[in-house]
Amino acid sequence: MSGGPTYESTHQLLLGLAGHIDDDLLAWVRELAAVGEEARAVSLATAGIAAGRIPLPGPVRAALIEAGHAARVGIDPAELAPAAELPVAHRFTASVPGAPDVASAVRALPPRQLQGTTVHLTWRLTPAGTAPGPLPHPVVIVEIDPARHSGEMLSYLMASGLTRSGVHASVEVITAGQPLPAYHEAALAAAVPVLHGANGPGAGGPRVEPGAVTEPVRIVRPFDEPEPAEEPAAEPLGEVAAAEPLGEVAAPDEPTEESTEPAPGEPSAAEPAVEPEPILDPGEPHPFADVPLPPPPPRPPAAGAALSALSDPIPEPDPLSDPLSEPLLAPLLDPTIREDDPLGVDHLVSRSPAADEAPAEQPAAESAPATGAGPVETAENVLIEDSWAAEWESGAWAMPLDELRPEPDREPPADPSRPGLTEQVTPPQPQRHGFTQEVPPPAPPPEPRQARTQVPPPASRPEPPAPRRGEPTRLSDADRELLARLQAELVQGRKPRRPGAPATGRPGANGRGPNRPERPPEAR
Amino acid sequence: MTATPEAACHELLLRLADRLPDELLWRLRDWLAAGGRAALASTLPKELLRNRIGLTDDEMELLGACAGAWGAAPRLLDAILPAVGVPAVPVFEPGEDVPPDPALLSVLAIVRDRPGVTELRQAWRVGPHGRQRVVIIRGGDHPWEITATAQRILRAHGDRTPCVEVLPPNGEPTPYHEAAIIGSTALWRSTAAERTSA
Repeated sequence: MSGGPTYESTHQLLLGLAGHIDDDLLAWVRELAAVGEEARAVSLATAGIAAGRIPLPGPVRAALIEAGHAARVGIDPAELAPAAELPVAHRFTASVPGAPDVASAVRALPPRQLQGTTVHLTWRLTPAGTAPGPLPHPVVIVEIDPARHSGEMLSYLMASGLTRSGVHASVEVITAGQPLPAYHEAALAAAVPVLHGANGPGAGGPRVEPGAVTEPVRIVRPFDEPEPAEEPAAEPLGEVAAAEPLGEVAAPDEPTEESTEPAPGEPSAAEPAVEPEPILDPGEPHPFADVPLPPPPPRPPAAGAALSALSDPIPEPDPLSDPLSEPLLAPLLDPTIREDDPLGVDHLVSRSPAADEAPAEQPAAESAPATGAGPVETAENVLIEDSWAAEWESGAWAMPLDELRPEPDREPPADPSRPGLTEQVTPPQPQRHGFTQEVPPPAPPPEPRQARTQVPPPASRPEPPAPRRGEPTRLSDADRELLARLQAELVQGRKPRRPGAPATGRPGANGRGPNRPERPPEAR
Repeated sequence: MTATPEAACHELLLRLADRLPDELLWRLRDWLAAGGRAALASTLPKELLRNRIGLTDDEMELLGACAGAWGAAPRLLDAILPAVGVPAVPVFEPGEDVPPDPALLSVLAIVRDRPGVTELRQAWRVGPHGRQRVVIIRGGDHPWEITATAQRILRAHGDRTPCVEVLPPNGEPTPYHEAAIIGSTALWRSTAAERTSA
């Protein structure tokens, strides 16, 4: 039997039974096989063949017996008729006058069932089985690619769809290029094509439905080379889906512009509706947004981990739209009068490189990039971390509290005229891991801005109102007059701070500095 | 009971009308007429179990007399459920007052000369799946053969699931058949039956 059809699977066995049993029984057992009840399918087929003493060809009979053993049919093979060919070969015809329009019913089936298939139609003129139905009987022959379709499932689906439309036809699903039983050879010899490919010329051209599988396939091929204009129209829909699996989509190194630009010389009107070019809506996320992009260039190392977040650049900060911060208070905090900027606000308006080269006392930490940190702009943060690191390295956190009491002579001399930076960044930390000592009242948060001021503004002076975000900051006439008076006062000579003068910087009780919290008396 | 296994099987299949699916029942009756004892012994108990059809004691005896005698597995026969309640009776209607179609005329052609056949009736069963023709034949020898022949004629005329009920000339019909007789129209009656009734 070399070169003949094989009946290894249930679908192949049922193909071999076509023409030997009645079409209703064949459709029934195919449905059972499609839904997984192969044992019942084989039992019914065997019982019908045994009861009707239907002769079968030798290979088919042997395959049926073997399948019956596997399914535990319970019918002795001796009950089957001896192997024999059909006494009368089946005859088919391509057209039957007055027959129902089976071809239209086939074309009306869901396209997804027919993708990649070729469908033929013929009419059988001879009875099949012991209790045949009316004749002529329509037989639909479907050629499939077994890698893409399940024969028994497709046969069941198509037969069910045709029955719903009022057409009782046998659906024989065969594999293209494989040897066929004589029944199907004869049927194909007298068949007419109904559909080529998915929706072939019998349908009058390719059809597209919104749920067609080919549309997403077209979308996910943005990096493929443009195809010729004639190819999509001639190519069946199902073959498009099979030839370009989804796994071959991403080619990151190819330019994405090819997906939206038509091929050179490709007329846009010639593009059929089945494969529309994707239209990119600027209001929607880019369809290739999740395509992996090359990593951004490495950022320059920041001064420290804590500064890395702050170093995320604000390329061109707008001082007038930012909330009120130090630069607007700078003239008040650092009343250094310049000849060309008596109010000290010009640097806020124009940030020229010269303005960035401000004196070290100029508070401009927020506008300076982290990588080019000057000594004053980053010293504060660096010292805070240094103090923490120094405390950690000193091991003072693990020492007894008595050893941590500061010596009076170690106190750095207070110099209100020029407070050192170390004076503000080394506040005594609250005791850690101490359970035998009362917890001192929480120290006020450090106010570095005030610490760097030499002359804190009097408390009586009203604070400039904080501008709302987005509004330009302007100094009122009263502020200008106030600033002028202050500047004049400074020009005449810096007056020593009055001890105990009210200040917003909350100086220490002993006048040493504003940020030096007072130690609890019991700790001294 | 001296009935043959075929007669017992035929009576059992009569009682299973509208209890087993039509597409299976007509096939079992066809197998019976074709002498498919092994097929019936293998299939009938399995389908009774699969469709959860319960049998009365009388029906169990009939099953044992046919399928049991033909080699059905005893474990399958013992697993048959007992009958609970009385099956609901469908609605029958005589149909339009039109001349019989070729299918029924063909049935009439083969039954009128059969020995023992006294009457031919037709009804239409109305159910959720549409209208189904039910052919009722009274009397006749080897009723299972008459059944199969009539079924094949009806199938050749397009009735995919023929329902042919060949009832014994005497005896109490089942509620299903009684309702079918009430809702049917007579197409033919033998002269012997006319004389008997007269």
